[in-house]
Amino acid sequence: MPSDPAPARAVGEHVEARVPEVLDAASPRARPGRRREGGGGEKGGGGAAPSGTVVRTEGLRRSYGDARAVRHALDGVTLTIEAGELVAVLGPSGSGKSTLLGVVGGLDRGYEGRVELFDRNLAKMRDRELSRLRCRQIGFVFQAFHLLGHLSVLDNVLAPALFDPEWPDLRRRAMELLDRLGLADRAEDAPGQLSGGQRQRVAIARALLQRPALLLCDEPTGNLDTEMAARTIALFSELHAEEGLTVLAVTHEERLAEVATRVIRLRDGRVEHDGRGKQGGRGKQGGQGKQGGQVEVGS
Amino acid sequence: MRIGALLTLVRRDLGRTRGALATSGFGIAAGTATMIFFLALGLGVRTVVLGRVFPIDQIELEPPKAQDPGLLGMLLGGGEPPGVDAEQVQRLAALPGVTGVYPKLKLAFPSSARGGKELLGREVGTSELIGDGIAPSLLEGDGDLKDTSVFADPMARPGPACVNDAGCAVPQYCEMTGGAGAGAGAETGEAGAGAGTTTGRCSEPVPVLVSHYLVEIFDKSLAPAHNLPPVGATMVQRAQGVTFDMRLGDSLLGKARSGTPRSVRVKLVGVSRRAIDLGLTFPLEVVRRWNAEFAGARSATRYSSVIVQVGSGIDTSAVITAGASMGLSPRDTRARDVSVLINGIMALLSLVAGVILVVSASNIAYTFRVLVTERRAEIALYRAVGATALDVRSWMMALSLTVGVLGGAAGVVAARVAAFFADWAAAHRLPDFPFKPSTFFDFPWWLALGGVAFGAVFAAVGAWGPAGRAARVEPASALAGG
Ligand SMILES: Nc1ncnc2c1ncn2[C@@H]1O[C@H](COP(=O)(O)OP(=O)(O)O)[C@@H](O)[C@H]1O
Ligand SMILES: [Mg+2]
Repeated sequence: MPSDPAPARAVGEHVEARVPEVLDAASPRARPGRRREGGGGEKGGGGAAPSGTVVRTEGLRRSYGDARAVRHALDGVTLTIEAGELVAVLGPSGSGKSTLLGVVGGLDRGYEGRVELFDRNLAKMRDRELSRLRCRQIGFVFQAFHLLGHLSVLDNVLAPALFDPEWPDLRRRAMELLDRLGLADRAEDAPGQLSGGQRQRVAIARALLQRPALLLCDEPTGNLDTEMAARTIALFSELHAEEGLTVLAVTHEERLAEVATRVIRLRDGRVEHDGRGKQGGRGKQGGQGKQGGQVEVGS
Repeated sequence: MRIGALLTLVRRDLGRTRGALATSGFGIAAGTATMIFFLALGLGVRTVVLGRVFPIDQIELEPPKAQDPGLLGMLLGGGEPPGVDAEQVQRLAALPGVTGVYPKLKLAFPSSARGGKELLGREVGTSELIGDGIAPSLLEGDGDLKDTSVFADPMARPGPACVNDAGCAVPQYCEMTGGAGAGAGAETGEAGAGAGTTTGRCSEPVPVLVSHYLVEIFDKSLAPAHNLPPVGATMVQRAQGVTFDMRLGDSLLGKARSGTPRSVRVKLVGVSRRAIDLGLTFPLEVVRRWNAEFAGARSATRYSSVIVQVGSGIDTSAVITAGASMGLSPRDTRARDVSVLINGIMALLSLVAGVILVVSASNIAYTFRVLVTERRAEIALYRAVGATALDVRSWMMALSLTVGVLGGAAGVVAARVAAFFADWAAAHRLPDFPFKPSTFFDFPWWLALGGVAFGAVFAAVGAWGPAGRAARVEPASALAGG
């Protein structure tokens, strides 16, 4: 059953050996250019640390409603995410996690304050530039997966290529990703025929198709059972560890915090805590929150 | 976004949203079909009416019919008889846009005719004959007559001298030449001398033309009433050589003022749009000669009317204005009246079709509004994976244009099919009537192209708003919706 690896086997073991082949040269450092040629790019294996600032926000505020009943979904968020971090954003429902992800991913431009993506001021980017950035540099994984029911699994994975100005033929790449995620034999199936965990992996394959530098995940485990959630978390951990892929995952799942290099806690649109995660290492301390070591504190 | 990628999106939509798009496309098809059907009908009827019945590229100018001589005219004894003189003809010819000027001379004396046995099986006659003469050059380029040289004054090449028809070989007859002109003819008439004393030359039968209108009237009205076989226009053309005997200067209504009534032989040589509606049309020189003989010199030199040929319908009004300044007015405004009428009807029916198209455009608008609402999450996802707002708009517009083009093409095909059945029904169900055409429709290539373009334009107009809404979908909130 290659589509669904035996539960007894850790996902990590299953995929580990093939990571470098699939995610070759997915170095976030080569940000502005394309590395579609492959091979020539540096391999990001073994936790080689990419560098550079991926996301920077300053006094980020996002308000909803009118002047009489204004509500700040984000209320002065200042944070910097460096390349190679695996950031878990925790917080209760309604604390602004999804809003943060939307702004940082360039999907929501109705914010106040300053947001930089790959050192570029998001407010100054035109729709075309920002769209191209989303197409090539950012991968999204949504809680609801947002797979397209009328397309096959393979065409779902290939969706980002349609909007790439070069319309590259990435079928091989897509098949390799599906293969790696154990879905090679489901490529021609409709997403409706897949289980929740399988759909989640299709969404992840789609997010990784263009070899993004930044992976944004909104409640990636929210719709999964405990078992699948654990495997997904492990997968993110691997992708991060092996590729140096920068991951910003929003969740209320404490387990994600266990594999994160950094944990940010939001409450009512403010950063309540920003500190080193269990995997420690590269976590950036400071910002608004209290210092690290409080990761285990529940919210 | 590449065109190929765009087409991929559209192709997928045509598959999965078949129902809604087919409904929209049907509206476009119905509107286009209605419009094309009526336009083709208008064009077809116009071709028949204006091309064959009332040509629009020519105007016949004539002096006022009943000219009041006035007190002074009566005192002075008549004044100039109405007519168009040679100088006026010259001035008309010099007008801009005029491609030809052809004077006409009416038979200015009573006459009658008898004959037609070869064609109809028995002799028919008319106690009163109307006729006119036209310059043979007017026929050139019409295509009505294969060989226009048969329509010429036979006395251009007169035969041997004769005193009566017995002196000429059949089918020739003895054309009296009398003296030197009308005066001589008049004198002979007054003298009341017998035919044997006048001299003439043997002449081929005088060629005559009849109008399509006359043939139609004969076939559809006269022939059934008198139990005669119908003669098609082509049959008349083929039956060249049908001869009639014509009595000049004498008819049921009276005798000519001058000249001695006599008989001539005429031969039907064809059907022409230039021929007088009800009557016979002769070569101009023949009428000139006969008018001099039976109606006096004046009626031989002043034309009864002049046909002005114009390059396009636009120039006709200038010609009418110029003619008015010479005291001439258009003889027949039916062509213009009919063309105005047809244009009016076409405009009205196109308006109906336009309403249908507007309705189908709003139908498209509705369908796409629903489509965009249904696909908010999908659009947002495409935005998230790299689609620009313009990509989204282009996608919706390309989809609507495809629906419009397919709908328009289907409409054009439907219009042609409907026209085919309408023609079939007309051929089998409608009674025969004058100028009943084999098809009532005209489908020029640009009409088909225009139909498709119209479908596309209306679909695009309908989808414009929804496409804009699609482009403005907020990806973040649409995706958060779960
Ligand atoms: N499109 C919106 N319109 C109005 N309020 C919104 C909208 N999106 C989010 N909010 C509000 O902003 C706050 C933060 O929402 P969200 O970022 O989705 O929280 P989380 O993802 O942490 O549950 C909530 O109170 C929510 O009601
Ligand atoms: Mg959320």
